[in-house]
Amino acid sequence: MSLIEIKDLHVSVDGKEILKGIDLNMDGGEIHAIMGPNGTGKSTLSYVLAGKDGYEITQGSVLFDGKNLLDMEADERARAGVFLAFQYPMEIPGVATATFLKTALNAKRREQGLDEIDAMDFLNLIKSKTKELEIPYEMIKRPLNVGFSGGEKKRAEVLQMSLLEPRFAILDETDSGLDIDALKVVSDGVNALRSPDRAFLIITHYQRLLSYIVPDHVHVLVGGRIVESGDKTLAELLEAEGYARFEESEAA
Amino acid sequence: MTAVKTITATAFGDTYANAVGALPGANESWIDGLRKTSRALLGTQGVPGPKTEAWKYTSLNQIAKTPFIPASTADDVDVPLLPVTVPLLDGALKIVFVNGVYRSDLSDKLEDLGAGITLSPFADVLKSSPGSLKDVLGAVMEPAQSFTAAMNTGFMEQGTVLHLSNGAKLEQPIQILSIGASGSSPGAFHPRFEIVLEEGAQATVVECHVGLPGQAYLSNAATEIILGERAALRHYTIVSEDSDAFHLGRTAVSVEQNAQYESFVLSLGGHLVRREVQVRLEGDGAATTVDGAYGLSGNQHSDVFSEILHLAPDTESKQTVKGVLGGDSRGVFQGRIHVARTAQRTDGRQLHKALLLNRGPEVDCKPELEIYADDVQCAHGATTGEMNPEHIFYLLSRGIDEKTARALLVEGFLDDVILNVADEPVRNLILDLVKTWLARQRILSIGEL
Ligand SMILES: Nc1ncnc2c1ncn2[C@@H]1O[C@H](COP(=O)(O)OP(=O)(O)O)[C@@H](O)[C@H]1O
Ligand SMILES: [Mg+2]
Repeated sequence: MSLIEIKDLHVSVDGKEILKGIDLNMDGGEIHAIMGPNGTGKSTLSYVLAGKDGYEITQGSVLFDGKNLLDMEADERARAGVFLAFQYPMEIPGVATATFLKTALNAKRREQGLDEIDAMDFLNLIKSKTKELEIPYEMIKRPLNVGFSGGEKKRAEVLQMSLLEPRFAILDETDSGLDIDALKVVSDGVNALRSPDRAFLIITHYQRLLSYIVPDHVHVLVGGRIVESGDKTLAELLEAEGYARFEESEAA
Repeated sequence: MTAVKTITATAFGDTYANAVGALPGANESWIDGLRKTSRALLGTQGVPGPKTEAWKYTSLNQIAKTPFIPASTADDVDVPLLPVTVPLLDGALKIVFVNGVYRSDLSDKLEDLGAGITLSPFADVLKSSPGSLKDVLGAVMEPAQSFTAAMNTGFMEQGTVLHLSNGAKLEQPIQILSIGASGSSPGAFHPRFEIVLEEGAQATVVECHVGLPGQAYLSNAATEIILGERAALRHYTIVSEDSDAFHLGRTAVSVEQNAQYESFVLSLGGHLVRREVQVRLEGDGAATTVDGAYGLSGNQHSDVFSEILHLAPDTESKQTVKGVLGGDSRGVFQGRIHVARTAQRTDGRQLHKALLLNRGPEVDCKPELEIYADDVQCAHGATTGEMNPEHIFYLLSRGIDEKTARALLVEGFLDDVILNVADEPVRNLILDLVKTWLARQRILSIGEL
């Protein structure tokens, strides 16, 4: 049994079918990349997996560790180990980043039957994580994502991921808005989390990220379907050729 | 019309006035005159109803129908100690009133505040040196402009006078605590706080209005503030009245050249709370921040009534008021920015944001700009809405359960404006009060949090 089993997943928004039958199996330790042009359903897939409201699942199933993921609320999924690094992280005025991080971490600890984290331990943990990701420590005192630059928001997402240690992490265009140095730092952060019982689904437009986070499998998503899968060389091919040939076949 | 007369008569007319009796300073003709003029206004104008623009959204019916007695005359109220529920600011000098009566036994010593600084009970000043208030009392708190001011001025009895001479700096914040408590009859009290900062003086004043459970009471407070050139006052008001209480409070401020008035009003308790503020930016370069936050549940009613008058060039005003409304509560925000013809290069900003926790609450918001100068920057805005589902999802996606997520977002919504409070200890006190309020809403399981 794979860690994640997506079978024939069909999803509609406002009566319009966006995902038209996705099949994808992922094992622990694997990194899968999904590439595709804009508007083809990549973020939709990530939201459906994370449990956002407003998506109608008309067909298919998703198993996570053998359990029916689609039956779980978003917060239950997160506590069970699903994590989505958002393409556009929300700015939340008035909620201090530190408060948010601590609340999230403690929610997970409670689920695992652990006590709430000690205040000092928490600060030390955040100190070391922010250092690793080259995030200014002061940032955690600011309201969540408010006034963060695009790059800072993406690093903050990776910081959250690293804190919550998910078993299934989805990164939705985490590379967009990052310069090459930031890209390297973020990739190091992700690579540091690679482990045999953790799977990553990396959504990206560009091959660039995949030369730092090397995927085991690459899938091409066009028009709500995975139209081709391969190894990392597929990403290189796409970078050189673009999506034109898939889009043509989609239209046909 | 007859109904209105009866209402005035029973509430604040002859019966009430007779019971109040002789007030301090009554033998000074100008003070007596001020009180009489104010009471006459109450009589002739009656209790304002919905046809009065300023009272369009807030009904005084309940207050008018309640047969209040002067709270200071109640003989069945005993508050021997400071109630534990009173929010205390660490390190502040406390001056305490119970039902409008100064309680030296519960207050700190009002001495040794520093050179050029005096803090005195209002009644003492009215009796022993009324002349010192001649240019102050009623200078900005004009009874004709507001029912709240008229009622307070008509019956003002006790309170404080804080005076700082040129250049004086008050190191220790002053905390005024006004505690309401009714016995078998509902009581009304009208505390009066006078604050005068001469040139370059600086002070921090925290005004807390709290109460004990029991019969309804009416707290009708007025704070009159005069800031000389380059003076700076931080003035924070916390209204956490008992859930059955009525609060009609007004702050009127005059701000001279390059002086600064920073204020914040937190309003959480009370059955009906109306906070009025009028800031007159009288001198070039005068600046003010008039922020606030309120939280309402059940059938609470809150009314923020604000007038910012830009009367000189290069003046600046900033106002952000945020409210969270649950239950069947009602929130009102009426804000007016007035820019006089001479007040060129005015910068005036006003924002009211209300967060509705369910379908029950109602918000009435009326921002008004009145601009007679041509070179100004003014902006106002108002939003009323429910919690952003994208925000909720973001927190859920991190494993935070929905109840906690909503509570965090509500707290964050208010904290966002509370973070503007410049004084750190006061800011922390206000943040704590909001946290406690939220926790109580959750325990009471108001449902929507
Ligand atoms: N909430 C929504 N309401 C309506 N249409 C949506 C919504 N979310 C996505 N879509 C549509 O679904 C399609 C796929 O969007 P998305 O998943 O964001 O694509 P991608 O991430 O691949 O760029 C687009 O046509 C988009 O307009
Ligand atoms: Mg997308």
